[in-house]
Amino acid sequence: MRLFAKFFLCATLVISVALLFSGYLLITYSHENAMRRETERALNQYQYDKFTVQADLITSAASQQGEISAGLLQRVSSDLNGLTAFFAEDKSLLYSDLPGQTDFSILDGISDDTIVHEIQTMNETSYLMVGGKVTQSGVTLYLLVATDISTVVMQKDQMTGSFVRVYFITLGISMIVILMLSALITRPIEKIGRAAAAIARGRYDLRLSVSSGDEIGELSKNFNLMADAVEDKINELAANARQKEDFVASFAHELKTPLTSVIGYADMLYQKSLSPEQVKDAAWYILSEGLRLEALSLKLMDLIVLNRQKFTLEEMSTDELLRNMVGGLEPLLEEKKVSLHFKAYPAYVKVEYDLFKTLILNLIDNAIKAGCSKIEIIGKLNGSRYRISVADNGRGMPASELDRITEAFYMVDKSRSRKQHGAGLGLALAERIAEIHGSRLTFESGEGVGTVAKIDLYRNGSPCEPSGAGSGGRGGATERADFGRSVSEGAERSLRQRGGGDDE
Amino acid sequence: MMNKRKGYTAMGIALSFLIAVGGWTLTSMLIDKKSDALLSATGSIRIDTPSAISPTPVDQGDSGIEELLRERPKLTEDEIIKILQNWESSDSDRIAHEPTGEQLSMEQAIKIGEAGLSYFSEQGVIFVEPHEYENAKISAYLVENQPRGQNTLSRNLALHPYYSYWSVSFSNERMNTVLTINAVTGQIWIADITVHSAISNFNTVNLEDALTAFISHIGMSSEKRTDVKYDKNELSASQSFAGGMLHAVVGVKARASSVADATTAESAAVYTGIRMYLTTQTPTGTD
Repeated sequence: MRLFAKFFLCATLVISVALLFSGYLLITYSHENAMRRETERALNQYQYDKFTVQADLITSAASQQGEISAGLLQRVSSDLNGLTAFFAEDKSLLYSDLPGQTDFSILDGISDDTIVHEIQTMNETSYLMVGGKVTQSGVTLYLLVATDISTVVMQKDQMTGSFVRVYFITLGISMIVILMLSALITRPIEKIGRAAAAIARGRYDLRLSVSSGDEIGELSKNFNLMADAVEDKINELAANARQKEDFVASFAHELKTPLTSVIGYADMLYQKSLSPEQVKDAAWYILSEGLRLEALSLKLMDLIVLNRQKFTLEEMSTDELLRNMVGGLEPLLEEKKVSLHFKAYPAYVKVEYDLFKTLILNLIDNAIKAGCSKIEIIGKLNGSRYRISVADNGRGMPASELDRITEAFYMVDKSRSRKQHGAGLGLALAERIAEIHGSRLTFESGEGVGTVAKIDLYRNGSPCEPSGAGSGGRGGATERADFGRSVSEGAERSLRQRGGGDDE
Repeated sequence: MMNKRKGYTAMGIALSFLIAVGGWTLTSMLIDKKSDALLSATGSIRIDTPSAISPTPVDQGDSGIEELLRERPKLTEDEIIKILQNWESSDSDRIAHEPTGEQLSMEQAIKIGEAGLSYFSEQGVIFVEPHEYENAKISAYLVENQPRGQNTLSRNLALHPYYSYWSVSFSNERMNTVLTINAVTGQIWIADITVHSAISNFNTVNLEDALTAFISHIGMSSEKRTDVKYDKNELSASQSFAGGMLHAVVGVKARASSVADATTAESAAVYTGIRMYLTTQTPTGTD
């Protein structure tokens, strides 16, 4: 059943019952009251009539002799207001101007100290009969007085007629109002239902217009919020799925390229007789591609580890942090002829040392690959946080590439990157580490002007809710530290093994 | 599914109309049933009838009436004031009832009325000879002024028997007299006499004598009354009792019809009368 029909049915039921119940009470109460008043009036009138009869008997000469004539009674009757009947002591009728159908059995209930009353309807006219015994001047009579109460019955009928009109008019108006109201209430609900069905069919962009501040408006607003959340989630899932597809495709491709070289050189070694020089060259290629495969697998491992583990951040002096990080890089930097400068505003930051070292080493690795001659690491306060930026004067990259460089396997220049044993995972790893520190990596770059990478760290005393940080997860603090160290060592080895090259 | 839902919806709306019409039919039946029950109701009320009590026998002569009145209880001025306040109240219902044991019977009330009129005639207060009452039509009603809203179906007295009064009237073609007699004491507290005759001119009545006769008839103490006061037209005289709370007033009645347009003999006739009464309301226009 439609909701509006339910409203309509319930409202009709409630209004009908309320109207009919109050109407019934009103009519019956009014009728009862009118009957009661008429009975009181008739009893009072009977008493007046009785007094009149008594007075007439006192003054009548005939009654003094105990004789009652019909003429006397007729004269007495003319002094009375209503219709009357007189009966002798033996209850035989002496005089009556009551209708012929009158039932005189009412007299049976009369005694010396009892008067009786009852209603009789004759010729569609209702009479209230009051009867009693009159004893005066030695004469005993039964007096029956009838009062016409048709007006009371008529009033009841008129009241009932008026009420039925009021009832149906009120109910009719109520029904129209209920129909309009229920339509008003259910229309937005139907609209929400249709929108929900459309979203279920895939129209995730569908939204409702919120035009009121009532519960329906609130429902529409919440529905829109839900639709936003669903759309965001769907988009996120789609992006994730796409990313995974891209990841798998890139991974397969990155795996295939070195394997092709390894298989090709191995086949050449197996099938052909080569000079020692040629064998050495082929072995070097196989070694080089093997190293690249190893680096690829290590970084993939690191990414998986980072995604699965929880880390605890610890306070460290910025000066100490940066000095330790770059301490072991002098030989490599000298070999690559790259000068490294760092300047850190003294502060305490919250870091997972090994992970953060990995991040910095990856950025330095990228800077070296970009063919820079100078790397500058600067630490300074940035509001409530501490910003560390790594700037190089390498070849840089177009601004349009900046959004994608942290995606796994994304390489700005694939051929050069592969030559440098790059797998396109370094910055993806760095971005994940930044997330663990409650931050994101931001890049500024331009072709030929170098690149600046920035990360904002929590300072001592600032609220610290880094992504992935905190206790819990598999393994204890030592195990987590080991993972961090392992990642860091992997990055260092990668840095040492490679030399020069592109940004990933 | 959709058709099923539409079917239920149509059924719901049809049911609504059925409730509206059926509800009324049921209510109408209940109202008619209740009305039938009311219209077929019978009842009986037990009352104290005169036959159930023994009224004091009344002799035919004046001496019997005097004796009867002597035996009746007497009221204090405070009691008279309270009773008069009840009689004068407009917020009450006049309920006719049977006399109780303490109250006068109708016969006694009529006899007291006749004796009172004879007394006032003897005192020269009214110009109606006793024989003029012989052919008068007499009616008498015993009434109690019950507070409005009282349940009067039981026909019981709501107040003390002293509060009831007999209203006895004598009327014929010459005069119309209405006496209001306390139902227990038998004293005439209000006498309203109108004579349809140009012969009897009540303007010639000595109001002070009439007032004295009225007060004497009631038996009020003379020491506590004030001097006689007249209204500015000297058409009424009054004396106050109980520190001004109770007043006895005698006043001639103004003409009931104008003589200004005296084109016929009938229109020139004057209707005069006298009204003697006790009241708690200060008479207007007295100096």
